[in-house]
Amino acid sequence: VEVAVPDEKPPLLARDELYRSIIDNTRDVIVVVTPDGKPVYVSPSSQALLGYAPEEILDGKALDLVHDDDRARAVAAFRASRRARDTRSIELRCRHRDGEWRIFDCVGNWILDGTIPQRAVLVFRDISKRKRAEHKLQQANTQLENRERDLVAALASLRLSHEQLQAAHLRLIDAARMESVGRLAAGVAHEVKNPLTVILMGLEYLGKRLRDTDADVHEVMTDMEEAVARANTVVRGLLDFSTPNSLELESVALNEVIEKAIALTKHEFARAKVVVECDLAADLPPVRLDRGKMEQVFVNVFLNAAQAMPEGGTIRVRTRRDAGTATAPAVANPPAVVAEVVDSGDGIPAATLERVFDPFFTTKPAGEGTGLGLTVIRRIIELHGAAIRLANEPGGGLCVTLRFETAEAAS
Amino acid sequence: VLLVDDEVGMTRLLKLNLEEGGGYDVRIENSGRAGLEAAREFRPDVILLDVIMPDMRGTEVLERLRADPDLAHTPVIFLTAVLPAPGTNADVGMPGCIGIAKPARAADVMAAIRSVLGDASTRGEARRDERT
Repeated sequence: VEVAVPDEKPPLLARDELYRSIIDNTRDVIVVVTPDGKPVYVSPSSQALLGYAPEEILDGKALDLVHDDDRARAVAAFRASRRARDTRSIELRCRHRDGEWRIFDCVGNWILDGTIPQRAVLVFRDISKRKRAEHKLQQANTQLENRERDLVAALASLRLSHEQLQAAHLRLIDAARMESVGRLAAGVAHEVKNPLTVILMGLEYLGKRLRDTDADVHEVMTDMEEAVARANTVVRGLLDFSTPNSLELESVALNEVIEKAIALTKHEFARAKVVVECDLAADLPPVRLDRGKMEQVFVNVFLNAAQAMPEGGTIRVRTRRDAGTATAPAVANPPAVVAEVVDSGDGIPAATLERVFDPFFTTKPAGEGTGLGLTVIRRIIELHGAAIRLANEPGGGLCVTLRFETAEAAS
Repeated sequence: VLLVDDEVGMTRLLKLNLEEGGGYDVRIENSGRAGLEAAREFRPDVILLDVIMPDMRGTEVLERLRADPDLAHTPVIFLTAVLPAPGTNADVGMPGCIGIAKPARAADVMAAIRSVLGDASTRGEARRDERT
């Protein structure tokens, strides 16, 4: 609305009309109150915004329209503003005649006579729409935050799955590699055994022909026969590894298997000045395993431990129950019987530790180890669905952990 | 003795050892098929048989031998790289057969021959008894 404001002072009446028209046409409710809060003027817009005519508000108790929870705050703000003679803004909920709560932004201004407050002009602006929009926005924000949280969680679980998948993939590659090595080994073993036979029989034949020659010839031939025997040991190890012999599983007390293996290696321990300390738990549940093959595993582990301590030392053998943990199914750790064999040697360098299960890997001097011992052990362990882990102890020495899931876990 | 093995060097050496060391009459064949034909013609007292041969596996040779009435009872010694422990006689789970793992000495082979020929002679007599 364009309002022409002439240069010269307009007549009083015209000015009154101008002000009235401004007040009548404003979309806010304008209330004039006395310093003690009594309304003396309410603009006509109260009809549209609150459903009450100005007279109704002036005659009744205006404060009754304010929400119970906002009333004390409104009064306090009014008094503080009167004391300070300043302008304050406050948000209030007022009830429309139709029962709906409207939210108003209320600004008060004091009309002063010198420093004495005479009247306060309160302007109530209906901000319900804006507040509703804000509320919706906030809700949307909260939802968005929740979704983001869900998304982050999903992403984390996806990453975990991915890592597990990757680990499984690596294990699979490993398994495939071991299998192909096994197949290769069987082929190689066959191809090597035939020429070994030729050499052995050739030596036998020559031995008879050269019966009367000097001792050196016999010595050379004996060395050659021994070499054939050694080569054959390697090949046999390969075949043991490559032929996945079926297991004869029975319900066995793991402690018995360990005690048997210790008995089998007793002489070796005595010779190597190795002391065995046992701490075998009495309450272990039985495990399903092939007694003979598992004895082989423990004998091998014990001999390796003894060889790790050329100056002698101590092997600690411990068995215990592992109740398992059942957190997320992805990291489920079923109950198991665990055996630990710890030696007092120097441990194994990390780089070597990664390779100990590889076929033909050995730290022993050439000719003394086939490098197939641990490979065969792992093969047997895998056939059992058990797990073997080698780790260096913090104080030196190597800890071999064997873990057998117990029958209750399998069911 | 009929010796069937595709490892030519080994058959030659085993023949030499068996002939010189044990006085056996040895015939060599280096394939399963040729071994079967030779068995029909040569009628050996004992057959030394390799398992893994290119043309025919030793087990198949054995099946065909057993299907031939004239050769059904000829003792067979498997000489094979498939068995794990070297030199020892092993029960290979087939009647009238034992196994020797390669690498083996001629002495092991001769011991095995002696043991199966002992069995075969008693069986042979039992057979004759049945006929009469």
